[in-house]
Amino acid sequence: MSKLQRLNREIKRLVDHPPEGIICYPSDNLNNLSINIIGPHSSPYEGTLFEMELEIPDRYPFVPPRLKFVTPVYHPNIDNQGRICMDLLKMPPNGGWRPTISLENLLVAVQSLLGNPNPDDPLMVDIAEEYRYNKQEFERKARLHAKENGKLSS
Amino acid sequence: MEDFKEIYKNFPELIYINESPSTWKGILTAVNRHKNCDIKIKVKLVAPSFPALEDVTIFFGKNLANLFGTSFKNQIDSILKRSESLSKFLGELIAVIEQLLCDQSNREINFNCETDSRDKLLKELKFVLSERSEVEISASKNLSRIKLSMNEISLVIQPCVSSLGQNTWKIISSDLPELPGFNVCDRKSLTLKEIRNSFQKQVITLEDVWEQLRKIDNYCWVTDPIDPKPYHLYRRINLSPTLSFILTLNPLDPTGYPNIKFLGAKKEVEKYRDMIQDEDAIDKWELEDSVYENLLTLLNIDEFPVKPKQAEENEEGGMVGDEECCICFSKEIEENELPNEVCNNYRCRKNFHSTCLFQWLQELVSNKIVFNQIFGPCPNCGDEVSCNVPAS
Repeated sequence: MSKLQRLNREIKRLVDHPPEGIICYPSDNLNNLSINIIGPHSSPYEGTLFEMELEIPDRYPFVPPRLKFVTPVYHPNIDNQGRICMDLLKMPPNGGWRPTISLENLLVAVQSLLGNPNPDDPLMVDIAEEYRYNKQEFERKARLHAKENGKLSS
Repeated sequence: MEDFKEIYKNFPELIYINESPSTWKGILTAVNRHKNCDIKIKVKLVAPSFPALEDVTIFFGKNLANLFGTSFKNQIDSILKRSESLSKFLGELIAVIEQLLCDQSNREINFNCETDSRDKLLKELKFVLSERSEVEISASKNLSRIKLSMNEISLVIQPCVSSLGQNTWKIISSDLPELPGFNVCDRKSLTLKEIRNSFQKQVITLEDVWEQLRKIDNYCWVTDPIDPKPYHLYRRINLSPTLSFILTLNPLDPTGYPNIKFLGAKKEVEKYRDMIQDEDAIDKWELEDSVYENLLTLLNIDEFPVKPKQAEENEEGGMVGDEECCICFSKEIEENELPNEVCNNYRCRKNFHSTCLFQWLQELVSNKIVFNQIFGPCPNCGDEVSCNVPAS
């Protein structure tokens, strides 16, 4: 019962007052939202448009939403399937999800993860190593990868 | 007691802060005879069996430890062994430090490698500042930051040394978007002059694209970026509340056919997508005209909708109101139930419906149930909160 009410309100706010670089449109099915995130400034993903899928579980907000990238991303915390390793997306005690976190908070956190990878908790071990020890090479590859995959074409 | 008074008299800047173990904290003053000045040394002195000198330990600030190294530690031990009282130990310690300071000054501490790159940087700075340029360059006092600016666009860089020992630059902040072919960090060992020239070239190159974007900002309903900065080469432009497109300009070809992506309600998106993929439309794009005018032709409209005025502004503020439950984001749930639990942390003070809070605490492994109360961390601040377990 609380789910729909809250969700409607959250989505309305995201649509009417989107944070910078985050685009969301309501769809017929509230349980599956398509989100677009623009890569943040001074990151290798700058200006790239990433498509994401947001799935709202029935027990939301008591369990976290499922969020993944549809556009491939070269990043230590994002795997080939677009799954994201981020504390806030996991239930306690292993994760940091709390029902006071809004969809907006979550999306802003993902956007900031793009610009600030966390090599200590990697999903892609090789990329994390590269990020840690050869950042220039990492940035070069991430930039190229973003250009190839995140084309802003229609 | 005698020793205690002696310490008090001779080292007035040492304060007795703890009785067991006896601890002093404060400052010892030594004279650097070479430079003829006083040196203040921060210390903490612990003497567990005072007035006996067994197990006495003395801690110094980091800088002193780095200066004197391990042999200094051994020296302290030997002074401790031969001293009769704590005050005599301190007296001798200061004498040793003064001697070490003297030796140190004679040897001149080896800071060469750092001064080397600093000298080089200073020379470079002097050189670029002597040349006439539209780019203004300024540096922070310790040369850790260098700022280049031109036409209100700025770039702040920090000189650093790479793991291979080469001098490189790190970008601290930049108003510039990423421009293919230009990257301060990519190529190693750029001189300040090369950076300045590249910066100037980039600003000049980007002027054209900025002009196109300014026009769009003036005539269109731009919703993203909220506050466009020079590094934003994209605009999200609303065509209606349910349809917008993201326009990204190519800085090297500002009036060329841009990247356009429609977003919004599916049907409308499909219609517009077909429209811009039409070959005729692409043919009609005139490189001579501005992007704004070309967009009007492309979308077959006379003008762009403007941002509705009254709808904005008043609805600012947080996602959740003060009186609302922070879990379901609303005030009333079934049967007029209002938020009836509040976090006791006075800085948090978030409201919850007991049903919402119970449902959350129940999810947690760390919860505790005592009689009919459930305890767990507040979902906002983490302090302990509790609520009643519903009867059935």
